[in-house]
Amino acid sequence: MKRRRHDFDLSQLLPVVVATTFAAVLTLLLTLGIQRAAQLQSASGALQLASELRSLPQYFATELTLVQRGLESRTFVGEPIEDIATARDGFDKALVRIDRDLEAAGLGSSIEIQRIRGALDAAWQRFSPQLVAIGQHKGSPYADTLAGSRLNATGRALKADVDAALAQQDTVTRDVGGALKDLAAGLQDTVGDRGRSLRSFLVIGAAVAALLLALMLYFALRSRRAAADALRAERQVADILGTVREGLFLLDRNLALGAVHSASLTRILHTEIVSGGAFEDLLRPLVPAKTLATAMKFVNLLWKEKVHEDLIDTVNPLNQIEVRFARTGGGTESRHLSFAFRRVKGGGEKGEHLLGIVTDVTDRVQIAHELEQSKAENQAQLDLVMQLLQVPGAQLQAFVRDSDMALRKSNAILKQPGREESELRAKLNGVFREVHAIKGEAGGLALTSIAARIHQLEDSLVALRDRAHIDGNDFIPIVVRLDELMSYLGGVGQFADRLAEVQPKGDTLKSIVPPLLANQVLDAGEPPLDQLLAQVVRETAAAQSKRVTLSCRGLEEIPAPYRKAAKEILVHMARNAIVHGIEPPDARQAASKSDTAAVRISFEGGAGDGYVLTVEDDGQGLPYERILDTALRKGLVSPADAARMERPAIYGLIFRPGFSTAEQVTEHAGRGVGLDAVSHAVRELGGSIGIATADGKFTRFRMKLPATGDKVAATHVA
Amino acid sequence: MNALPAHRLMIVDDSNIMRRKIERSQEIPNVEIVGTAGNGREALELHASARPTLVTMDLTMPEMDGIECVEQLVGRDPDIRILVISALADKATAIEALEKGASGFLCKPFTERQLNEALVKLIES
Repeated sequence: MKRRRHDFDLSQLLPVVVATTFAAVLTLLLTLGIQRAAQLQSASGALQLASELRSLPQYFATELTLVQRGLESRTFVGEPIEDIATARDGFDKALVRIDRDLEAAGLGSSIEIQRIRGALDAAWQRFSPQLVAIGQHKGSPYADTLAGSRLNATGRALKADVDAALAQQDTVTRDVGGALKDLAAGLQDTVGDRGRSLRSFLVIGAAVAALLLALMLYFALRSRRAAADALRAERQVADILGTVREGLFLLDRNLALGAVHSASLTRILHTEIVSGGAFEDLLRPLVPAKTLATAMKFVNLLWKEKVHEDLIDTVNPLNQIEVRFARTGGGTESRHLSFAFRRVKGGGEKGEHLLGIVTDVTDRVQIAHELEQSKAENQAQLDLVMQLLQVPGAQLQAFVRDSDMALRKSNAILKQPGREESELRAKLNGVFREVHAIKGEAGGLALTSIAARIHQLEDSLVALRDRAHIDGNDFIPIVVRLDELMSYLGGVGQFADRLAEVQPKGDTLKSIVPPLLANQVLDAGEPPLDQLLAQVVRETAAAQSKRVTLSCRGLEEIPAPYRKAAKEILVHMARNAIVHGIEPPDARQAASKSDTAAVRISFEGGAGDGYVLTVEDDGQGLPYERILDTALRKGLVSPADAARMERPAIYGLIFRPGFSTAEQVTEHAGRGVGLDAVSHAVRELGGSIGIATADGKFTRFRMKLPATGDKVAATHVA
Repeated sequence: MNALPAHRLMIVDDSNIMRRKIERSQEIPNVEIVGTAGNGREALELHASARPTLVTMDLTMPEMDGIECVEQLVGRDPDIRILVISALADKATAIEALEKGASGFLCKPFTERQLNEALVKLIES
């Protein structure tokens, strides 16, 4: 930076130096010119005098002749004598002036001129005393006698002097005139020289002045161009700062903002940028106090010479921050910003500024988030498929049918008339029961992905239920979510159907277990049945918010041909027992029963007349009146038959196809899931199902299975 | 004729594995590893004898942590160049180490290349 400033100064100084030099030269030239002009003037003066003096010898001759003739004719000669004295005095004075002029013209030391001047002086000095002598005669030159006037002594002396002077006149005229002529000629030369020299100086001066003008013009143009370049550069900087998408700003050592910043900075930070304002103040509304403190420490690290700026990127606390800005229409908007800082290297070792770069990375963060979400979704789908494969196809189909029915029913509930708050709440509760029931079933089947989906819907129902006030519009999102869930379960249903299709038709067992699963069941890695049941009970109980203990007996004794079917039957029955048989803890407490219900499963037999599989719960028992109502409504029995039906026959209705999938078995949150499928499976094995139940006490299903190989006609046992 | 190594590196980390990883990864020709230390106190003892010019410094260590060690090392030799190598749980702690005189920060886990690049930059600084 220093070096550059120096360069800048020198280039600024150059015109000044050049101009000064030229002005000095010009001044010198003009001074010399003035001197030459003065010399020229003096030389001209001397020349003039010399020219004037050239006529004087002739004048003296004339005057002397006048004196001579006057003396001869005895006339008055005072006047010419006076004139001679005046002229002589004038000549002397003129000589002094000529000398002064010669000196002023710089000719004082000119040998040639001084020689001529010397010759003039010598000639004049020979003549001048004679003239002086003539002027010194006093008194009249005449003596008057009777014979007339004649010269007296004075007159004779005067006449002698005049005659002598006239006798020299030719010599004087020649010498003095010649010297004056020479002097005039010399001065003429000098005047010419001086004139030429003056002209030269003036020409050079004019040239120098012209050159100076040209240079000044050049510098002016150059400075204008430089100014234009600077302006252009400034505009380009402004263009860059106006265009660049990053928020760019400079910070000085006090972490105050610099004079310029990019236009994007205002947009990204949603605030006006005050030049010279503190960076900390800019940041304060964006980040928590702790982050702010850390950030200021971090930025100050960049002033430390020891710290390598590339090696501290990872500790930048402003690397990716989430900030909230007030939206114009109210509310807030979340953005992700990333700040980076770079030292600005100047001429010195240490930077004089920090360049701050702010980027709005919201899109990037969102994309990363979406990527994660889609990964999670893919994982969820894979999980779902794996879960679906774990569930017997028939059960899955039954579940899908039940769910579909529940959701349709929910829709129907929502469409019922009634806009009163109480009616709306009743609708809400109705839908909630339906949804909660299928969630429980999904959980029971270990379809956790589906259960989670349903749980989301349930959450929005709970949120709505907890509101102080609801109106019809609040149900719109519920309807949308119901739709979504229905189409999702539709997909599951398609999968279940395909799963059912791939079952081999000639399977003698006609197991409800799809072959894919059947193969898995035969895998050596299959957990023991009681463990599997424990898991089912745990999951179902948790989903239903019920407390259940399971006890299993003799399940390891189940002969191999029955194992697959027994597993499916028991899983189904155990879940049914929890969902339908067992009351919620509060109901159990109200009935003075233990909170924790018991489910017992046992397998006995092998003594000739086959085996007995028992599933028993200490729940509420089978509500036969409700079963009968349902069967009547579904048209499974005629009213006349219904009137005659005994309890065992009524209980048998729950095994009828279309019963469990058609209606709820109980008021309680839960649905029958395909007991007809169980019954079907048992009959396929050549067995039969018996029911024993006591209201409020227990329900027990006893499935009699023939000894392996035997086939007993299916009968319902009371 | 090989010139003497221009830089003498001391590795400070309480994890054996990490020390060995740094030792193995370091492949800058004119850097010689003059010793390793398992905590700040050992590092100060080693500094007296080995006179390192470069240090890789863990932050959380028993007996004497990295921050204090950085401060003492810089107090003894203001020209010493310290690269803090730590998991980035707390940026404020890393910044504190830099304020005390460390020159840079490398986040665990790191690749061999990241380590060598960081060491080159450390030497440049």
